[in-house]
Amino acid sequence: MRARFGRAALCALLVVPIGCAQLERRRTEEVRRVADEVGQRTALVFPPKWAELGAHEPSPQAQALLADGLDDDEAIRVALLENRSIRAAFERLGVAAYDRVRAGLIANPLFSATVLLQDPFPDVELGVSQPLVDLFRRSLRMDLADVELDVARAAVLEHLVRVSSHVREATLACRAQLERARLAQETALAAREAEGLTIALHKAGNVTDLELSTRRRARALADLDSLEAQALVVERREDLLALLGLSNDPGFELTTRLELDQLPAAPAADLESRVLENSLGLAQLEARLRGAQARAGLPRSFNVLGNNSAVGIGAGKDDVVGSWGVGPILSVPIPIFDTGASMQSAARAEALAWLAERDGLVRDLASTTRRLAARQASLSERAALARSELLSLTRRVVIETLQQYNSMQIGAFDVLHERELELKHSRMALDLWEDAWRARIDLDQLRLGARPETHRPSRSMGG
Amino acid sequence: MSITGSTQRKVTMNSNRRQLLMAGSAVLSAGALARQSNTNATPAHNRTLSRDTDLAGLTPGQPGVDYRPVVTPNGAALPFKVIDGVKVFHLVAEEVDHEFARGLRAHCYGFNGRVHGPTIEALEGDRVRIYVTNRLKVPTSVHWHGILLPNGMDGVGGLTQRPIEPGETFRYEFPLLQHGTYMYHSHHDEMAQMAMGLMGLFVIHPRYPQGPRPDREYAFLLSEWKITVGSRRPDPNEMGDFNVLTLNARTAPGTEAIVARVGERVRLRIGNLSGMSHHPIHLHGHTFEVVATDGGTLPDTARWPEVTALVPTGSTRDFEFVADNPGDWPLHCHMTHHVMTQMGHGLPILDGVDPTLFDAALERAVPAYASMGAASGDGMSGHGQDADEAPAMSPPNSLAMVGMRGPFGFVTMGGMFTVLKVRGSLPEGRDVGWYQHPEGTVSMRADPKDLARDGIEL
Ligand SMILES: [Cu+2]
Repeated sequence: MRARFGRAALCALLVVPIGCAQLERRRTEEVRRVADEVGQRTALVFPPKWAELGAHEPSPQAQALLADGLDDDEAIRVALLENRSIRAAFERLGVAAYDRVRAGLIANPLFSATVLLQDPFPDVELGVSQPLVDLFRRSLRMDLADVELDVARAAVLEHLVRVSSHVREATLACRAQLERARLAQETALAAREAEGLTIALHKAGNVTDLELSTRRRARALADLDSLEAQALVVERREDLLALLGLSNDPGFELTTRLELDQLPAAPAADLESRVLENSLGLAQLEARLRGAQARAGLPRSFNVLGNNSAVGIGAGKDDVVGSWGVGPILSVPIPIFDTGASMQSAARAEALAWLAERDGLVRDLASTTRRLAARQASLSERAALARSELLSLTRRVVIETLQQYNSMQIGAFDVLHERELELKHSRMALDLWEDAWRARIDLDQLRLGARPETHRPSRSMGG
Repeated sequence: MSITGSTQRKVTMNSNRRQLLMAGSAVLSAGALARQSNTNATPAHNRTLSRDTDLAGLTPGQPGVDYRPVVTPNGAALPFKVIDGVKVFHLVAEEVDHEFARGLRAHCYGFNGRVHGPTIEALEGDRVRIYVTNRLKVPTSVHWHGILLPNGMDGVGGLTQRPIEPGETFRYEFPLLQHGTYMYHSHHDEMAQMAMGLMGLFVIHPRYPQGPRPDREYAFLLSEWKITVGSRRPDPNEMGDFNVLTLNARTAPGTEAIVARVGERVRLRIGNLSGMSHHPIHLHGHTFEVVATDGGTLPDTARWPEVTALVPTGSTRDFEFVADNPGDWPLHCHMTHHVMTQMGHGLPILDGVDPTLFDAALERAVPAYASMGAASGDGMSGHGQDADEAPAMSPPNSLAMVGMRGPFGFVTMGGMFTVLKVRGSLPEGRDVGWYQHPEGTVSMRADPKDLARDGIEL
């Protein structure tokens, strides 16, 4: 096939050059768009001004936040600034943004030249051709890139929501573990006092070796428990630091004071519809469905054209007469074997698959919403009951045990035993309190569009 | 010829008497009286009436005229009226919210609003008719403990009568053929009902007293209770660990003191209806003789001087002595756990260990303890300052384990304890107060000069 004629200059005009400045603007626009949406979803002012990657120190903005302690919102802001996974997600958003720009570009025309050296004249053929399919499929390509960009945007948002939620959970876990460690220390103190008294009684010959050993063993157990609780304080702090993206602990305080008698409010009545409305997983599936539907809706001929079709101009020098000739070039596949039907069917099938997944997710989201709402309600009720009844009664029991002790009806060990039970019940109430707030955080995360992980372990349920 | 036979013969000849019986009693018919053969053996040592005495001809004894009434400390006498020559009493068995001492009350059983029931007092030869109304929620009966009477009047539920159902009033009627210190108590589900306090004293004065007559008579009924500290109802199931030991259902410091003028002859009539315990009753500063049991007066040859005499459960003992030693003298059971109140057991032994260790440990480990104000520093953990008032740190409705306030500080006795106050003169109607010791007669820290003189090296 020889392309002999064409107007190369004309073809060059079709090319729209895209400068670097425009590309960067496009990326910035996308980032801002996501940031705005974060703002709408989380009421956080999100200034994406990152520090240099590889820098050891937090960004000046993060340092300013860290300087006088962090409440939960400030902690999330630090994470947005410093958490490298958020940074990576935004960079991936850049990838999708650039891809979208590239999808709008027309493929470059193809220049070909052939020279055959022979007598008397060399045979010369020159051609400029433009891939034909590219012209027809540009709009589809742009649609598909839009889909990818939508998916990427939703994914970044989902990641942001998830990290924010994890930060809240981590600060909650830090506070709860501190309290847990305090209770364990108090328990160890009671056990140590009981051991001390038993040692004195044993020395006086008033109690048996067995009583002493039993008491010492109880103290050792309490110490083990307390040491574990203290180790977990360090671990929970590290969990938080990792989420905040800090490479070392600048020693900030957590300033959000959630009182132990404060419990999450019941979720709003329209929660389920809000969850469906905001779901970022659903947004991704819907974008993908849109893409598949766009592909399935193309005429079959589009599929047949393939990448080998081209139109262009060719110029050639006749080897006999030595004169030049110019003419059009056209190359198209002949749809004998592949009529394009299978590709269309595949696109339709894919659309159906996405549709099914979307439907599944809608059902799953509704069920998850109800389950988490029920969990939060139940945990809140139990936490409130533990505080209003269990703890106040256990405190009464301690006081009344002390009265019996003062009346010399029972001994100091009975009092210390009741004290240990009081601390155990305090811990039970604390676990319920923490779980109630965790359920609330999960529910908030769900409402903001990111479905929480399933099968989350729960302390109060023996997890 | 037995006294009963004689009585019955007289009664059958006495138309008034017979009319009375016929009119008033379906239980005590003339035939029933004829079956009073158990009194045939009434021994001489608990009667001053001849067997031939016509009881119907005797006038009912008048208190203050025919006999000097006993004083039941913390108690009362049951009032009576005389109807056609019969002394009529009315006992009402009911639940009573009873105070054992200030700070300790419990839902008990009693009679006529009292725990224990009022003391029934009569004169040998009196005929008594006692109505018993049951206002409890359970059936009961009343047994006249130690009194010689027709079998059907003995008050044993199920055996000699059917139980008195709630709301019913039963009549008991019998002549008093003896004198002495007796008791009455529930004899139906008696373990529970006596543990709840359903009992009282029954004192029969001799119609014709012999020997020196007491100037003062005090009557005590001993009993024991289990009232878990902080609870409000005696535990009738308790078998051994009784923690409230009482004189007339009061526990020291809730017991009234008794008084005597120097030189007076004093009779203590002491009955014991404790569930499980016998009580060796000890008097300080005097010797006494047991002059009678509920079996009768002891002959002089059977008496010996005592400072402690056992009063077994289900018995009475009459002690007599001349109060010849002025002062404040304890009268108490000598079982040491019986002069404690609401004693706890199962505590670790603290001897040999610095007791402040315990308070200090609790203050460190139990914030509620520190906030209570805690340690009293006397090792009694807050007890002992004033046993009349349960400290706020103790359970409500409970008493300090031991103790009452005395002129020299803290008396470490409670429970079955009171004080005999012997004085040269007794101001009428006034608290005699604590004994004023003559100069130099109170033990105190030894003077080093005395120690040196007597060669006591420390
Ligand atoms: Cu005793």
